[in-house]
Amino acid sequence: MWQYLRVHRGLVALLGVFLGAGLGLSLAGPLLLRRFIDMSLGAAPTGSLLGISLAFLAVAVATQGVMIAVTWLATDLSSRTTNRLRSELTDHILGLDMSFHRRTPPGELIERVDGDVGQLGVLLSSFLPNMIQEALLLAGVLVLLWGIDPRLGIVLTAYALVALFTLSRLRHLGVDAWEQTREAHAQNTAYQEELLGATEDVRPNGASEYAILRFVALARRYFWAAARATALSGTTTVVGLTFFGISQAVALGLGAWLMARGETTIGTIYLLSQYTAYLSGPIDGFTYRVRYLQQASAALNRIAQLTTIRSAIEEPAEPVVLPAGPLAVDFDSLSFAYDDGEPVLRDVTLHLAPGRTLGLVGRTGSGKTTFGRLLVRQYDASSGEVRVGEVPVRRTRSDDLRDRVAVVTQEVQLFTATVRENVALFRDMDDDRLIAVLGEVGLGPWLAAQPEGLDGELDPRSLSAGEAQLLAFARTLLRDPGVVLLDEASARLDPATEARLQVAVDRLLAGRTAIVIAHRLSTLDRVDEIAVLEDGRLVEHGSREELAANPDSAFSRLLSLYRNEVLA
Amino acid sequence: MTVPAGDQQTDAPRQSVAGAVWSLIKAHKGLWLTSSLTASVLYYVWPLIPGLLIAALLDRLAVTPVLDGPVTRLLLILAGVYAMRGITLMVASVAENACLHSAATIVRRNLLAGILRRPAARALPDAVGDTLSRLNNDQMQVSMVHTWIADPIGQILSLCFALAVLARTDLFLTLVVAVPVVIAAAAAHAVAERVQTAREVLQRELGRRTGVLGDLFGGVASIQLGGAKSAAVKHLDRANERVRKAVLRDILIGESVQTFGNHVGEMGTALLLFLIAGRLRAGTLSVGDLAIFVSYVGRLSSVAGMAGWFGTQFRRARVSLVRLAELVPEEDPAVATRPVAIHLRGEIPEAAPPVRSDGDRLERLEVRGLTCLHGETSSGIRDLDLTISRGTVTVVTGEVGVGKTTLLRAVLGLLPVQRGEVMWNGTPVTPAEELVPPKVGYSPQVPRCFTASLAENIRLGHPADDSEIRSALHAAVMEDDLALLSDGLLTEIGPRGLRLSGGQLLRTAAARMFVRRPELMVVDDLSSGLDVDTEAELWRRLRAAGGTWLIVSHRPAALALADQILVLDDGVVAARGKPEDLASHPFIAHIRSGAPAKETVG
Repeated sequence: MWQYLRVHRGLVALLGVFLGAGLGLSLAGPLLLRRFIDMSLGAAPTGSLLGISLAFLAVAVATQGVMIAVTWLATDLSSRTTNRLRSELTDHILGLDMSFHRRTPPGELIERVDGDVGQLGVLLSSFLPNMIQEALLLAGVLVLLWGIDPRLGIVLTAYALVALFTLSRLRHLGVDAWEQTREAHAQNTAYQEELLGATEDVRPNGASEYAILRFVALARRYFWAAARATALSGTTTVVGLTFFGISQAVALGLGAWLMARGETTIGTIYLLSQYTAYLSGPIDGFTYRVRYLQQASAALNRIAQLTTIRSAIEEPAEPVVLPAGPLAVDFDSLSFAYDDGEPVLRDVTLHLAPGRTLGLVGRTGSGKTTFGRLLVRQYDASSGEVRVGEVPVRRTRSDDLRDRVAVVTQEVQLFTATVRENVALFRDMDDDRLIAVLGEVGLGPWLAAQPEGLDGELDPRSLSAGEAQLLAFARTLLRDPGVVLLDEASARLDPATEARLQVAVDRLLAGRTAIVIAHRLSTLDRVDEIAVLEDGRLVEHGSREELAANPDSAFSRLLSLYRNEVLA
Repeated sequence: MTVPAGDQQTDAPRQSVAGAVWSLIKAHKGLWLTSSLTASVLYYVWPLIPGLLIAALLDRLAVTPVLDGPVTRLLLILAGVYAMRGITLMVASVAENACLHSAATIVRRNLLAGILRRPAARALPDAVGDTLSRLNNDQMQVSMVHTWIADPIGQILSLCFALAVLARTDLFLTLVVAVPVVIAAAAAHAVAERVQTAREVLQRELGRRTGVLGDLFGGVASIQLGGAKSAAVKHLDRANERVRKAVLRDILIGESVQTFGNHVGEMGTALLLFLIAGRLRAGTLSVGDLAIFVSYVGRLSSVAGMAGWFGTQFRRARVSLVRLAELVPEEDPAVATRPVAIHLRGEIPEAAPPVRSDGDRLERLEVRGLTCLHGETSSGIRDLDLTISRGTVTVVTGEVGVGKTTLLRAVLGLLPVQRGEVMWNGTPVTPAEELVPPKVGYSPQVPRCFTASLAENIRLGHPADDSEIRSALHAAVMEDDLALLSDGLLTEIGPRGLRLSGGQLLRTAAARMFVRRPELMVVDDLSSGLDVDTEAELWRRLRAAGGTWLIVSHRPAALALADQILVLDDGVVAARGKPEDLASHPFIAHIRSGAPAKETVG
């Protein structure tokens, strides 16, 4: 945490100054009142009593200002710090490989970055400043008590040490329970996130009641986990306040004994009652806020867990930069399986020269999509090697690789952001270029219909699936990839739209190496080569014309099946 | 209370905070009473007792400075009072948390159910993250105020007690010191509106940030493939910065109100010290009286401060109630807090299976003059007629963006329609409520699944045994895929079902529909992720299975299967008829030629 705070040294220092000022003001109040009592009962001149009154007023006003300043500074510090943590965590999460994302719901990640970091924020903005304030107050009170009478100092210091030691032992009591609570909360949030995204699946299939009852079951788990954790934390409150009650009784008893011996005044007894009441601040505050501390340490554990997850994709120590222009693609004895499952690709070897286009065909689940994922290192091959432009992909930086190798799938993610941000994927881009590219893919009229143009918020639901696909093409055109892989990119488009898009596709593929995966074989009319996959094996690879002309080839069999269907 | 200018919700019916609170209290009376008694009443009254004990002690010592029996007894009681307070606080924190979480579950349950009643394709006002944030932050605000609504009772009790004790000590001083406390309360009220605006801005920015995070994590594949990681983080940075500014504004205003309330009593005491000095000298006021005076005035103003804080929370709850009601705009805003079973104990019931009655048997579905337009853009469908008879296949086709999906959604009630009606066997129906299994099943274009097993995702509460699920999967041509899944039907398919391929997800959604055996099956573009073999097999089985179908597709095989085809163009039916009648229609001819032509087809 300190590395984050260090950036804001100035703010921390200022906060320290105000905390110190607050301490001085807190201690001054009762001292003034003691003087006031003893002087009133004695025979002090009216003028000095007036002075004390004014000083007391000044202390009350200044305390207010200091308290607001402390809260403001602590909140600012906490916001800056946790915001940075949020960004770094998000950066980390976005860098994790797809096998992580395939098993972690977005809702759970939101809960980490928003919820858990928020807990740390509470710790920083209110718990820590309060703890420091109260620790300072405790130290200050003890020092003053030593000054008043060393016997008071000794007894109460010893007592405070015992109390704090006991409490700090109890501090860990609820941590596990809070961790379970947050886990239950995260699951509940993740479920709600999935449900809210699946309204069109749930309602029309009559599953609303089921969906609600599933929520109820998850909420109940959270309810009992939280109840248990709160009860465990509550024991600290009981112990803490009992300690405090005893300490005040002991202090006042000691005071009475001193007074009986004529060694102190009634004003000092009053001071004692006030200062010991101050001690209740640290103890009461500590026990009451211990829950936040426990929640925050549970949150911190979960954040730390997340940061220790390394991407399965290791970045090379000395990355090789890919050359410009179209790049060759090589798969060399490539095998791959997801999460120790059945192999999806088995010993595939394939060479594609720069600038050539390859059509990849095969049944659903034959491993076609996996090709694309291995090509841009969303996964690493189980064995064998993938090379782009003669460079093994393991030796490139994945950001560089993905800049030069573009994969377009039928899943197009739209963001709740401006049109500009959606097209440029949040990068800085020239307006003219954006408009030109949107025009090229045929979204010109759509853009013209947007009331605020590029700067308007894009409503993800205002685009049909086909139009979203066009947007994905625009995103790809904005880069200058050397290899393009279209994975069923046009599957949702009707043939007429696909035909219109052909110009944009041609532009996208021109002068680039391309791999086109399509079930609709007509999409593959213009590729140079065809590769056929069956159960993860490459069963055929050759020029399109030759394979189509050879009646024994697997490709021509598929082709005739397709023609029959079309003419049916 | 006036609403700040620019708030568009002024006309919408609202639920008052009091109404919401009362409704939630009725939902769990026992829990609320326990929480209120411990966390609201005892919490405020208890701390007044030590002040009395200390005052008694000081008075006794001032007269007879001896550590004797009565003094020791007072000290023991003092220690005991604190131990008791600890126990009360523990019970209070358990009870108030239980009350908070129970209220949270009630509100969430009601709103989730309400959202599921909305037109399903437009169920959320904004991104999922925004709705999540409302269900979290705004719900919390309302639950909190509900849980602590008895605080004023505790505060007033402790205030009266304190004032009574003070008045007995010195009536004049008490009246004088009460003035600043009243001023504090008035001051808190004066800035109430600013407090409310600041909170509105903060909640909105928090919601936007959650929305950004949801977008980024949901779209991680696009961001990674687009090499846009650092740009995306910068996008988050901007949202973060807006939140920071909103938090600071909110804290500055809210904190000032509270701190002023807390310390106004001290300032009053300071002003009075001079008067007190005279009374101490004259002996009309004892040291014990002074102690109790200082302690109770502090208490008084901190209670007033808390009242100010509570007022702030109350106003924030008002904002939050509006934001919650926005989630279910068609319904009574009071729906969020309606008492509802949340089954904290005992068995959670199973969802009731759909009951099939004679009227469910489909003879004819008619759609008359259906118009469904999207907001400003006037895209959508206009004045559409359609009749579907039992045992027929209707295929809707047309170019991208002409309204094919809109047509299906409008017929099923998944989108709000402007005009038109839907009739089942001649009787008008409310589609969203009635066109569900056993009448109708739906397989959307981009299906979503849950983090659960394949079987659970297909059942979604429908009572079906494994063999029924297997046969539904067979009908969806997924039996080969099933054989490859490591745990068969029990295979966990990951968040949103993302461990399945796109084509597998589509067929899972189809199986989910088949297992419910609906009279009419509505399918949006099922074959887009399927290879030639699988698709051919799917249509073959579909033809063999019979049944009544409404399908959106632009695949030749689907068109070949159709009893009637509707070609949509720009939201209206451009052509309609049997496949052979439409063979010469340019769009159909184009599809059947099978190849994307080089020239534009219109």
